[in-house]
Amino acid sequence: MVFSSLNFLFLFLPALLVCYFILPSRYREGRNLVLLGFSLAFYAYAGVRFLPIILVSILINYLFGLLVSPERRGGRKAAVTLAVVCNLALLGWFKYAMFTAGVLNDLGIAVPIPQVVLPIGISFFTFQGMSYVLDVYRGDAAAERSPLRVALYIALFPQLVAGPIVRYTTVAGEIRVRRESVDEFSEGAVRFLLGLSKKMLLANPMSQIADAAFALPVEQLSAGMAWLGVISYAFQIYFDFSGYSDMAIGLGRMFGFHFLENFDYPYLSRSVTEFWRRWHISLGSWFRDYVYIPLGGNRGPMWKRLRNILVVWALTGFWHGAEWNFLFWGLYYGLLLTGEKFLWGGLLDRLPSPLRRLYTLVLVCVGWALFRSETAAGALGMVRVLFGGGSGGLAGQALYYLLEFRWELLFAVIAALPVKRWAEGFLARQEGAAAKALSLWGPRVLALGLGAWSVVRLVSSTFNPFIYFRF
Amino acid sequence: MKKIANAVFLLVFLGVLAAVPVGTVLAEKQQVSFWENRKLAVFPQLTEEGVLDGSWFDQVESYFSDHIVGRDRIMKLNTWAELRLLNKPVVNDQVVAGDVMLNFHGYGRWDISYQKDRARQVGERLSGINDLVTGWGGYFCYLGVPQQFSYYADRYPDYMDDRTWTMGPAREAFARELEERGIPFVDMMEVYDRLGHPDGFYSAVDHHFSYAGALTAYEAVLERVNADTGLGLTILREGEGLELTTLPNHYLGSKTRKVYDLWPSEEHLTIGLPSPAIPFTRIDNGAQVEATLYDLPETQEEPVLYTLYMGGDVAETIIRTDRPELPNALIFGESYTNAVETVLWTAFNETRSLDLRHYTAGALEEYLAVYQPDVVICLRDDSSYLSDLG
Repeated sequence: MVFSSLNFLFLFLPALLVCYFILPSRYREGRNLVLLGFSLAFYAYAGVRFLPIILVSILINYLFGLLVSPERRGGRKAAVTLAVVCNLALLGWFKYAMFTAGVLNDLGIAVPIPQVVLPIGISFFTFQGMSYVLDVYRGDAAAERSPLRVALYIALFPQLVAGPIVRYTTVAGEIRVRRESVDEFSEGAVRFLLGLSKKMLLANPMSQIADAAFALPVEQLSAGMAWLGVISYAFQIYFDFSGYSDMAIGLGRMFGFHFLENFDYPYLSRSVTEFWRRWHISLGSWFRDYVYIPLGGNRGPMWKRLRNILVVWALTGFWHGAEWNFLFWGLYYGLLLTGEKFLWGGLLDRLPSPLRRLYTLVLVCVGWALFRSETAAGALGMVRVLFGGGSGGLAGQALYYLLEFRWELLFAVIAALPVKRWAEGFLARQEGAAAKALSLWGPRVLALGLGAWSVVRLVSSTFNPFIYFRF
Repeated sequence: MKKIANAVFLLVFLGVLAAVPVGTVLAEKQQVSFWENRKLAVFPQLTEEGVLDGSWFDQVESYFSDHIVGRDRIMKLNTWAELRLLNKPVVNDQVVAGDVMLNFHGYGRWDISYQKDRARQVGERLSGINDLVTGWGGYFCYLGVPQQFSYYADRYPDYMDDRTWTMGPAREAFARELEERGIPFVDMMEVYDRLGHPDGFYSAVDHHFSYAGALTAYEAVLERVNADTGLGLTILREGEGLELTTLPNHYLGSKTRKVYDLWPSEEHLTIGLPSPAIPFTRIDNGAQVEATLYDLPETQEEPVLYTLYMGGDVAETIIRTDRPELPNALIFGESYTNAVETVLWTAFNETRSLDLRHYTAGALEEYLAVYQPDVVICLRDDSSYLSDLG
């Protein structure tokens, strides 16, 4: 199930709200049980056959959480190693088995290619489960004795299928004790509606442009259309992902949880290094804390530091998908980050801000071209066209998409800027009653209006006419 | 104040969350969407497999979206916003940028070298039909009409694909095949061009021709039949045995239907009746029906559709006039035949028409062999020249 669906908005969510809030707040475990039940139902929506997978993940991490607890005397290291192996085995089988078998076959080693269906959200809940065990092992969190609380942490539906990757320490306390209130619920709902709007009103239209551009054979792609496609994809992935994070954070808040921010206006970045501090923050920090730092991080000889960066970024790329272009994408950033750290970072710092932002945007867009392309060859072809290596392309196509989506593109540019912060800051400095009223009602009215329009777009996306009557 | 603002917001938010599902459950369920011209989803049967693989839930989503309360109003609002507020050049796959609504083709080029082989295959089939018909002394003719977007190809904005790069070669390949095989072919694009390619021959709001365009096609094909056979079929014209009436009713074309009738149009439908009247009987799919040629509206306020002509698409229609001195005819094709049929029958004793999309009782050649009409006309639009005959 996705948040931007009618089933979620008007069946699942109302039912959950009724079942959850009908219980008095003093029945914390009862409310947690309701939340867990609905979270598992949310997951089972994609197919009940996938439910055992997340239940196995929960069981693994619950048991290993107990085994690696600092309270235990021996075997902790073995237990944590086994926990990591089990989690990665689960993820590895479902996500990478087909790819690995394909690669082996390409290398001449004949192995059967298993037909494995990828369970939704496995990358997210596996990392979340692993982080719980690792945090307990390190002593950053206490082992949770209640399997239901561990289950709730791992399966909590707001961040289950697309993050943010929530650390156990962030929500451990709130799983036990939290306070739902009208203010928290409303502010959560505002955040949710704004996230829904990002998805429906910006990400989806941008996807139409991006899909058209990336579907074209390279010989039919003009430089204009290539850039429009890549820029649209940059907007699509940002609003899709950050919109989803907004919805997750908003939903969490409605039930008294406070997840950390996952995006911080990444397209304002002045370097690739800064970009990755603002983009998918929860993933970046996960790899930093559980891979980069344990490998040695920024310490040691140069070759180790380079190795650490490239390993993290190869894994980051591969985490996104079991295809070569994701690996190239990850390594692309690994090389850029290495370059900024050891080669041209100093020069970059001396450039004017607009140039630095342009530098970052161009490199990020090239990265998205690598990320979005279906194949490595397609990715390289797209990059070639971006920088003038195309052979002309279809006349008029870029102009059509610019005209058709001019309003969405304009609002996408605006929404990628910290307009909310600027508006809040401006209104805070004003003294009149109008400014106060706008400050108070503006976000709520905007959220309701955009949310309503998002529902209109959601329903309209199912418009399916036929010239001749279809039975 | 913040508490009040949050409370008000909460009331509205929760109110909508509750109202939509309750309203959907309580609202009367429609079986069919008029605007989308399709049957709406039925509630899916719960199956073990559907639950296990998640498909049942997807079907529930489809059902919900098809039956959500206020669906048509919501769709219309969205269409209005795209047309009037956002001023998009393409809305619901219709090019709305000019004075004629056209299909939006998207972009993309493909190898059209397959067209020669396809034209040869279709030509072989038509050759078979021609041999069959001429075998008993009959006459076969292919009447080709441009699709609306072909007719108005020059109305596309410069930056849009008008598909002439594929339609033109397809038409040429097809015409060449028919010529080489000696099959009479009336290419209405050439006829319309000779007459100045006027706007009035094709609809601005529907994918068909107008009644004027249909009458021109009727005249052209009968002139060709007369020239090739000497049958001397009577051709009715306005004021010469044919009375034309323009209906005041609003015309809801297939294209304006896709934009919820929000595109301004003053187009009206015209009907033609022989004067003096010619008595006839009508049989649809084997059953005798009311002897009408038009599905006329009951009031002037009721909109009319292209299905006005002959009552829409019927698998098999037979019109009998009890004039055995006249030849019999068969016309087959798709919906373009409907407008032509309303006047074509006047020249024949019996006129049969087959809609290839709906006639499934047997092969076309079998049907021809049984009834052996004297004149056989295939009427198709140019986007179907290289398609199977069914």
